[in-house]
Amino acid sequence: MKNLLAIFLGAAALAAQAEPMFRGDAAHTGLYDADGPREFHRVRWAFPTGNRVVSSPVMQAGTLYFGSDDGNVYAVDAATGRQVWKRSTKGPVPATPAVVGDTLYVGSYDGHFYAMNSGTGAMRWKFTTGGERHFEARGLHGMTPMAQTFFDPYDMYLSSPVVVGDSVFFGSGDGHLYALDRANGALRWKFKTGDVVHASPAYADGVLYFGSWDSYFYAVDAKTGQEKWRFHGGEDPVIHNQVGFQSSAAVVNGVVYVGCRDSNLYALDAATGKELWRVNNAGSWVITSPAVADGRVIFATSDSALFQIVDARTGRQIARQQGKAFMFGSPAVARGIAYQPVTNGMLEARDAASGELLWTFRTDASKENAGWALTAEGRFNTPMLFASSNGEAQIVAANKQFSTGSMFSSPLVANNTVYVGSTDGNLYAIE
Amino acid sequence: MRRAALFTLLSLAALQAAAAPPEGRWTGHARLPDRSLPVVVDLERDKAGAWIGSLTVPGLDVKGAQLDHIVVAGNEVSFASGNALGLASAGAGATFKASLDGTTLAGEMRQGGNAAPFTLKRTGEAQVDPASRSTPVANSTQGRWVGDYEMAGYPRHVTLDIANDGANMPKVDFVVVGKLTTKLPIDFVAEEEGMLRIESRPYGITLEARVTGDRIEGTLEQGPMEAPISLRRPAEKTT
Repeated sequence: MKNLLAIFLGAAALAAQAEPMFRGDAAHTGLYDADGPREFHRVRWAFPTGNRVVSSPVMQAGTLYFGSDDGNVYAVDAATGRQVWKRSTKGPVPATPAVVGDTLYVGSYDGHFYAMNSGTGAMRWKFTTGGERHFEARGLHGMTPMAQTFFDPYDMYLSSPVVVGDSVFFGSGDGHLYALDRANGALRWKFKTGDVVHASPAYADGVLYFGSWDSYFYAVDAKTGQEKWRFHGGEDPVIHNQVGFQSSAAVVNGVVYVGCRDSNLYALDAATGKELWRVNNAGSWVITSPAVADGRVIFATSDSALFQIVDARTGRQIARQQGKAFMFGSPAVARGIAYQPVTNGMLEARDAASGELLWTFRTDASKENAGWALTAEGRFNTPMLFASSNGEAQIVAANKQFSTGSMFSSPLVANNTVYVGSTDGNLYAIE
Repeated sequence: MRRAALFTLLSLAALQAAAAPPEGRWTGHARLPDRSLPVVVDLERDKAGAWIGSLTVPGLDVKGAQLDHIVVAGNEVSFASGNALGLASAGAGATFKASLDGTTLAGEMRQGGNAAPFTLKRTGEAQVDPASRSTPVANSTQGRWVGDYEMAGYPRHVTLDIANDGANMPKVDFVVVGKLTTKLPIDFVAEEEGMLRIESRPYGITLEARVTGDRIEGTLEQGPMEAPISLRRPAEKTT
């Protein structure tokens, strides 16, 4: 009897652990049942790659898995930071892998979606999509000449796969959401939207929830690929700045929470798509994927740099803290602490109830502050970023911003350690 | 007892000497005009006592590039990074010359005819990236394969001969016939879990395909282009 209880408790503990996929589970709650550092002690190790680490790390059996924009997928020992294996693709890998059993799934900017042996990195199959691309538009963000098509430098993610049963689901720059047989990569169905899908599908009760840059948010039957409902976000036909779902949704208790570039955080009824409430952020994008914990929704904004906590039922504001720079990376919540990546090369730990700042980690690149991309306080130094009067000023500025070791990666919390990637090319283990 | 203690002390000193720098991970920057280039160098001795190493340059897509021409003479260290930062054969590859001073390795990096000072600090044990090694192919994969592919509107015919060569890279004759007949130089051959990968790095060509019975089916990549390819056993000639 005692043994049975032990087995039951063991199973419960196992079930509560984060699954090795984006945001810790298929519903993308961003919750980690693990202790994380309440105070900053040290960087235990930093694992250097050849380019930006936008991908978020996931962990299975003491091994971390993540992608790098250097084109490799990495397996790294979580305790020591030593490389277990690396596997090259032919494009940046800013997506987060999912690991199920002994297989890792991830997409690359080379337009392929890969299944690899998680123990060795050996390729099991690859699926060819219609090709990857960044979101692009004429006169994007007000860049000139207005008739010129520009790619969006802030479209930095690729869709991270979610694995449910024997299927793997992911979005693509070709505008589709794909469902593949996870054993052999055979196409089960694909669902067409009107533009780039770089948000990651969340799954709950047989339905996939995801947004597209076509301004719509979709609910699709996971078995058949049939649309159940769609929700229309904001439009911006002139400079295309206030349009598109880049944020990945979280689904909790029958409610879908998702940010949008139209500057709203939306709560939608998962069954019908009916809007329950919205929090408007006055022109600031909501790129972060919200974390949902203890009846609260935690998210952050871009230009206004606000870290916010709202009531999950009503959207009523509980706490709002002023940050220093754009927040695109999604908060991870572990036992009362929210770990929030910031584009100025900092990781902030905040109290998940009040939003109060507990500690900050800053990359060397942020401290070095090449070209004074940041002010002395760590805010973006606008006059030094937009020095060019040419149309590509926004793209040039974004590259200067990213030179500070920007954190777009969503942190993983395990073993009193926060694991997070940076555009300085490192995956950090912070304790 | 005193003798034993002295012996232990001497042994420890000998061990320390054996693990002497420049073995380790070295992290720092090269100071280019108007830019600080992050550099990570790993150096250690292999089982035979020869120096091996790898280079990582975050931001330039260089991760674990194999070092060559490593020379350690007293406190002077020099090495090159192969083709990782420019074609070495064209004189554009990067070379590093440095002096070791305690936990600092400082010197000059040359690349593309330019020179910049660099300073690296020892930040831990060496983590030399293993070179990707070829593996023998399955017995059933050996032999001749033929097939066709089309790239950029041009059809091409392929003849592939594969033969294992003990622990060495399998011998591969990879001949492509289009407007010209090209025998590709092969750098890498491996078969893992039924997936065959053959690389010709000078030509930027990679064959990645699954071996299933009498077919090899997959893709042939050349730079950013990719084409489906299907290889089969050649029909036996009848007399």
